[in-house]
Amino acid sequence: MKRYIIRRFIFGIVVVWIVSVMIFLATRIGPDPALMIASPGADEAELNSIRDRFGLNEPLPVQYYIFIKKALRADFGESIYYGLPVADIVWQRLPATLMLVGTAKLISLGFGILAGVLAARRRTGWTNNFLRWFSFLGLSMPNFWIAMLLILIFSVKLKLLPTGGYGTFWHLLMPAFSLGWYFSAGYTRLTESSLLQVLNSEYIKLCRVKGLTELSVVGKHGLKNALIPVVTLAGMNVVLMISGAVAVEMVFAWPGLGLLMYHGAIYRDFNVVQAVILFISVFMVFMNLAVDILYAYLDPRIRYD
Amino acid sequence: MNPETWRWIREIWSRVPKVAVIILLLLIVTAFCADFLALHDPEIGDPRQRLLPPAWETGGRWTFPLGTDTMGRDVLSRLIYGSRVSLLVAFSAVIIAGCLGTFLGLMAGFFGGWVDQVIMRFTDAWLSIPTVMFGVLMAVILGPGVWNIVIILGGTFWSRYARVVRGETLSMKTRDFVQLARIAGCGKSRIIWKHILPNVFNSVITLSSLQIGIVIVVEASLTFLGVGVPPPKPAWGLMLSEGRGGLLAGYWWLIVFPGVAIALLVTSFNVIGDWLRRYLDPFYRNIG
Repeated sequence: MKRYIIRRFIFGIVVVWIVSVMIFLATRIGPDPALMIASPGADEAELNSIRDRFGLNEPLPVQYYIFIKKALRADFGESIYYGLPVADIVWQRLPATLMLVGTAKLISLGFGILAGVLAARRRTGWTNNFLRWFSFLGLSMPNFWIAMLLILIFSVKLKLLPTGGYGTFWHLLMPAFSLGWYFSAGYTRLTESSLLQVLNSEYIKLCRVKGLTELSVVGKHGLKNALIPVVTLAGMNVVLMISGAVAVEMVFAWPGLGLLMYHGAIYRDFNVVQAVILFISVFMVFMNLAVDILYAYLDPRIRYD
Repeated sequence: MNPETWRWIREIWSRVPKVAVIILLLLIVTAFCADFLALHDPEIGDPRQRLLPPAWETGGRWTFPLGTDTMGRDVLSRLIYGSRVSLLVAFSAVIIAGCLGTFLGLMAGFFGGWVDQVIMRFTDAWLSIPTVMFGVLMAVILGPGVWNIVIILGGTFWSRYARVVRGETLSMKTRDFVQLARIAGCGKSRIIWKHILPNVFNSVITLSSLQIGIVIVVEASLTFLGVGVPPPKPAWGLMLSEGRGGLLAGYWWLIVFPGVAIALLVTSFNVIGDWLRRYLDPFYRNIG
């Protein structure tokens, strides 16, 4: 067990290292970054001073070494566009992202579990079909399109909700819904299959024999076990949600990491872009690591693979 | 065609999800015949016909069935030509990703050892990178263009194939037919390409049909964010991003129709992929 954890941990470090090299190289393979930063028509002296300021004159391996040495101390340099340390900006944007992703998670989980339970209980019927299609549809619609449709309906036609911005609960509703809908389909499917499996097991039969009500059998004894894989998936999806939120944040001018990264890319503020992508990738790697270790701990069969 | 082929086609047809297949075929035909189907030029508009609503609304005209955009271009014609971009990007990107990922997965699974370690750590790295964000970054660096998007998406989506194919290869390697082939004196490359590849192919096809929907949505997202297919090309994501300006003014037809087109295409791929997954999996095949 200990060996397994150490092994997985080393894998995690290696993966993070590969990601950091890749993201570093991605911003260097293109045209000279100095040309992208400088105003059009800048002369050689100006370009050189920019290269000096951002350390672009060093050979690539040295640049990477400096980059990673600073990154380990959570120093990602200075944002060219905002003129502030990148780490501070990321830190500042994090609450908005977490609020959006958290609410979207609640919406998608709530809907997904409800639809999944109904699907597992009654295999046919009108409500069931409707719920199943509703969650399936979420998979096919780009979240920014849902976002614009919601604005069209609730802001332009009904004048109920604000079209964008950040602050109150009402600002949160539409972005969270458009982000969350996509993910509900996965939870619906997983809840359904896992609940069906659990409901066939011996201890559920015992519950029924004991004469417990249907609500107690499914709701209390069945769901408790059936939801373990669903919650795991929900945890692993957090990162997908953060990165998938770019277009939604742009439509609603929601000041999260997605919008920060998008503006960084558009304004060639590569320090910001590197930091955000690296932050999210590291988050993802350690999330997966935690899930793997947790599962190995819970289920001895999947240990030394 | 001989009767045997007909029988085979009928047999397949009786099992496929018909609505999804018909919609997909219609969209593919539309993409191929765009030149004959479109009533107007998709890129050059008529400034006198700006922002006409769809024909059934007051002020709409039947020469522009789904209305016109801010530059006076016919929405329907742009939608028709847009199907070309979406299908072209989606198919090319999935083919690139599929070939790359399948190759790497086969190598990792078959050779094991340090080859496996290197390939799988790269796969893990690619799987943990946020797709849309990395796509935006690469698109900004490589510059806008249809083929750049294809390369970016192909270079991003291979990782899932690598992981699935590696797993399948590992299990194939222990099967009797591979062992027998080895005893019969087959070389490594013959075992990989003639014995293992055909057996992992089903998984690759199933995965592709499920991935293609995601690829279409990501392409639309990148284009919507202004880093994908450049204007004035007719692409659905681009139409949505241009229509966004008229959102608050209530020009709903600029938003609704391109999105419906994307949703139709992606839904039909998802339904077919879902069906394929069950059909190609021997466990489900007899259940239907």
